[in-house]
Amino acid sequence: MMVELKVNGRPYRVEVAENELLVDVLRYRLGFMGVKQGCGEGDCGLCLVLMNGRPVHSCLIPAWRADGSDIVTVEGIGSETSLHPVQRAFIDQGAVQCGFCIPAAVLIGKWLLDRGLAGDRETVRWAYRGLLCRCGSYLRFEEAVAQASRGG
Amino acid sequence: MDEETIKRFEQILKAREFYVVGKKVARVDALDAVLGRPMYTTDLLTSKALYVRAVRSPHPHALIRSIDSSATRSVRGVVDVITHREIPGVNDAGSLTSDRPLLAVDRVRHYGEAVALVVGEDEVSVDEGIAAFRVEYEPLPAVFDPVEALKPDAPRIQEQGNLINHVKIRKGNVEEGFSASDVVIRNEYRTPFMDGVPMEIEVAYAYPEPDGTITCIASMQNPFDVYNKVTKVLGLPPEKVRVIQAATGGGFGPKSDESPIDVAAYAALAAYRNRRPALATFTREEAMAVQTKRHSFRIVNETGATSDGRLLAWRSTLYLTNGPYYSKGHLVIQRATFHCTGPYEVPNVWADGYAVLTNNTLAGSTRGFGAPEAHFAAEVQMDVLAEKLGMDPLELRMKNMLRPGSLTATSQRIDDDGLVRCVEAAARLSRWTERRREHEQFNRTNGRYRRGIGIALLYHGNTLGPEGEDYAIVHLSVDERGKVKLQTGLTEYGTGALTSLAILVAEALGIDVKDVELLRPDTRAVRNPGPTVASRTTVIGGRAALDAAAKLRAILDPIASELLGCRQDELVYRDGKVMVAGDPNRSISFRELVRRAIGMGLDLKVEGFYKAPDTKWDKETGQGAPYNQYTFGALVSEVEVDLLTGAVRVLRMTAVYDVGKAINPLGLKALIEGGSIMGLGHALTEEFLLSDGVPVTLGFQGYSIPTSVESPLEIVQEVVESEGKIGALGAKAMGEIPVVLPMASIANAVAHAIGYHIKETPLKPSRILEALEELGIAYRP
Amino acid sequence: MPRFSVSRPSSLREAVERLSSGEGVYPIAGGTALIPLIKKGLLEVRELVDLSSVRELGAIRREDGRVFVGGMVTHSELVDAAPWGMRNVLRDFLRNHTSPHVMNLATVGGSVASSTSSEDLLPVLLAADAEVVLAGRDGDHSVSLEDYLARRGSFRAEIVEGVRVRYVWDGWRFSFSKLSVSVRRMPAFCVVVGARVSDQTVEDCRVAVAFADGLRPGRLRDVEDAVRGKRVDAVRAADVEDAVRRSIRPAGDVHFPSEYRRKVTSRVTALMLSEVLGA
Repeated sequence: MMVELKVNGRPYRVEVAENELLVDVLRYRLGFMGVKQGCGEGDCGLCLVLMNGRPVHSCLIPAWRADGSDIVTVEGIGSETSLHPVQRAFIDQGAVQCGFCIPAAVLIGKWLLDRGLAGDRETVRWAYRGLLCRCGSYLRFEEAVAQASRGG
Repeated sequence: MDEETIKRFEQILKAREFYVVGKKVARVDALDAVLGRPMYTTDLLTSKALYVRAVRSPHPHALIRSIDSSATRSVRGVVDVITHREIPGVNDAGSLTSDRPLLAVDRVRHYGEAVALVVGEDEVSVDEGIAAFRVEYEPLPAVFDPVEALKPDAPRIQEQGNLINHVKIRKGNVEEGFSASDVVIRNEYRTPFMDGVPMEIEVAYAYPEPDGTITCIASMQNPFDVYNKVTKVLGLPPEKVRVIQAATGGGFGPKSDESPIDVAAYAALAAYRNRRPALATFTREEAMAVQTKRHSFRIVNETGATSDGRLLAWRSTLYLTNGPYYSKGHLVIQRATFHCTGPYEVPNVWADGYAVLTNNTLAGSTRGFGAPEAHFAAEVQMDVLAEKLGMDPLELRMKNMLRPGSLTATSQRIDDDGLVRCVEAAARLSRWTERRREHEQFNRTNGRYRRGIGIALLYHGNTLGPEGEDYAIVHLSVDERGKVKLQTGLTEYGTGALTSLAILVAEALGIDVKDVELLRPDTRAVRNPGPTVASRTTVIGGRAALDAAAKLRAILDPIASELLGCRQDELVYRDGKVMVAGDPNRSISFRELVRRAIGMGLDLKVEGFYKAPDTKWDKETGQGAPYNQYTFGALVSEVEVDLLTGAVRVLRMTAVYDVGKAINPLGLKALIEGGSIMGLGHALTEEFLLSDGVPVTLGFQGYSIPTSVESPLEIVQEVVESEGKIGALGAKAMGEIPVVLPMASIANAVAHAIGYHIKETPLKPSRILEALEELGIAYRP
Repeated sequence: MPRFSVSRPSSLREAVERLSSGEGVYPIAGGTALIPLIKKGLLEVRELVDLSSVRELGAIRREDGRVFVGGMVTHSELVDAAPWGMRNVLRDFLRNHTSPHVMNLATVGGSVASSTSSEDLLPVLLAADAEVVLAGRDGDHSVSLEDYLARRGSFRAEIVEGVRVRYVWDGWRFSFSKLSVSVRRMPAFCVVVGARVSDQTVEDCRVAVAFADGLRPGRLRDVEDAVRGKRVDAVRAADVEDAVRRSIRPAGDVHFPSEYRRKVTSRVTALMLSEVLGA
């Protein structure tokens, strides 16, 4: 099945099998290794991407469902010379431990900022509920998003 | 470079104001992480790989009568089937011992034990191949309870019997101690199997090189443990196997045991036999079933004290429920037993710790290594005692805690005041007395909720102690740009320890941390530094890093002193420059100095080494000094219990740890918060349950770990620095420490809230509600 | 994931035809329940019928006194639209969702079709007098959500076209309460309670729970009948607790035993009812 989608602003056309999932297409067909996998069942949140502006678990989405959609992965946020405020804040606040949940965590942070929701701690905490971080960096995420929302 | 010179070098380092140590430094790998750069094993696949998974036993104990792989071999896409017969070398995949086969021969001893490997072009073919594989099992009687397993008529899981270690402490005379006590209490404490659950599942990618070498890139804590067993399984000469650790998304213990060896061996076998790259991994449920778990413990503590709260006698009986293979169980029981009294001075101690094989799930290293379980039992016991004596729990602890001059349960003399300082700070920061009163007041007036505050203290022997040879090796080299390359077989997997090594090297050479480049652990490029476990990387690895830096200095100092016309002891390395003390205008950049040295034909490549003194104690009495130094800590937790649902909310935690020397404060902050939250999971929700040896809590729906909403709103922390004897710049082990106390601290807070001590974890809602009903305080609207 | 084929009908009619075409044909809505089942081999799928291109299923529209919410409306879209007068309930539903991100995929139709206690939306819809509109071979028909839950299994050959909910709830007070742990989809309990009080009398009320019978959500009509028409000060919490206890037989699991669920559900319900009655 032919799928046309935008990833981080660039258009892609890719032939996918019926049973291919978006997470695998993003990773292994299009090379976006920032999208991780941790359970395959939508429990852990590591595979999170923004699809048409909304955070979704890419391990639950057949690739053909993404036809016509706009996907943002962590690779589409900031760069080494120009970090996104959330990325800068993650570094400053020591939020990175093993690093495996960080791409998803950065995306959630960006989504909160874009939606103007970063200023309310309870909302931030709720937004991170769908992401499992075994290193326990949740409070670091909250501090980082708070820093980013202050424009720091 | 001799020990004396190193010590002197370190003294010089310690004596001055630090330039990088103790300052806010970003983790060296944080940038790569926030940019989502490919660095984990599955990000690095360069070509399409064969896929490998195992056929696994559904029985906890059974004979294998026959195997039929014919249907599997005819599945489209299946390329190879490997049983124990096809193993070219030795069928050995024990992480420390040689009692565990990679693939079962005639018998399986736990649910999920691997019987054969199916290799295929893709996941779907392999899954179909596994489903088509036929094994005829004859179930055997199994045993799951450690006390049952010790009985003479219990099924024998391994030839030599089910008891794999009996650790003893015989200090003083407990009977006299109990006789002299005004109060004696005896309680049993239980903690279940738990799982470390690293977020990145074990994975290995192996491929054949043109010269016949098998290279394996994988997620793991101990590259050399993996290398040694893969080499043995393949039966290849040492130079024909190479293991490289990729960035690893969490370790927590299981990745230092059998499961990374398994996936690496699976991939290596597939690659070796089929001359193609191969990838081996688990599903999440499979990973949870087969990675080594935190052992389940049953601990009976009997404690005697005077009426004014002086501990006189302590007897502990500890049963560690092991899986059917050793893994690290025989060592975990050691640590648990040595710490069984908690950080208190008790003149008479009798302890027996038993590690017992059963047909339960595989168990081994998990963060804390027996300390969290021992402290749960000891610290709840202290609270029960305090209640019996009518004393404030903090007061009872202060009366007995280890201070300079105290003797531990093994009669080791404590010389530093780390614990005293931790307790003082924790009491102050948590506003212990004030909050205790506040919560008691709240409880008098509230209907549905009760609040409580609880404290627990720890001591933690550093670092390997009785568990093995405690040494490390760090390699440094400097290039013409003045960039220092640090390479070691010690690994980063979330602890931040390698950042600490980079900080130490940067400090010693006066350069920016950014100019220290970490190369990946590669068995071809480094010598075996021992395992990355026991929170020893900063402590022991740090000494080796400083040794390497000192060796570099030994090469560079003579050149610098010649160039600057000064004595070597007048040289100051700082801000990327080398200058003369008191005369900063006489200086040369580090980069220029390095260029000169290289230009003179000098090889700026050194190997740093450090070995901690061997520790000694008597095996029959447990008396002696099993550890070189101790980390200390205090954790205060405040909780709110819902008397209707039994749910516990942790409101605040106050954590104070004696880290010896804070090399990386920002890293410590994240570590302490994160470990507190993981420990909160242990206290409230985590249990790995089995029914007749079959796991019933697999996957994240089965096994529950904390999310953001379960975290306390506040984790107040303070770090105390009471210099340790052996660690780099006095550092003490910290990687595991923050998970040791939450079970005890939270349990004590809950007890304060509801007036009853629950002695089994997790303190889940149904268990709490049961207690509330018995107490007659369950909330009825 | 195992292999299967995919059809992408653009009309409800086509979708229904595909579903009736043989064994192993299933509709895919959000995929949050279905995909894990397929991956684990618990569902053998020959063909997936993609409902995302069926326009009608994404609609939210007023239909004189009622609101129709299409089966493919996601949980997030539902909360954003808050299309009927139970705003605080929908807000609490959002705040208590196990995963805010799964909400962007999970659908109203998927929740109804799965018919199980993990779907917090079901007690919400039950309390809102929801009707399920089903599209089958013989055309559309609707059935009360209560009846649908009572007789149906999951993933049958009829498509949940949507739900119809009463629009106006003037004078009503509603409350939503749930306890869940970590990312477990099965909560300890989930209860929605509502009441309309006039002249200190309970004119009408609703009680809906996630675990009415086994793993089926349900409306506790016996409890409602016992409270309806009573004076507020005559409603005793202990009686409500008893009534709920007698009405439910919750499933138990390794985390939350059946007796725990029963006890806590009945106490929470009694408490919530007191609150909405303003007692």
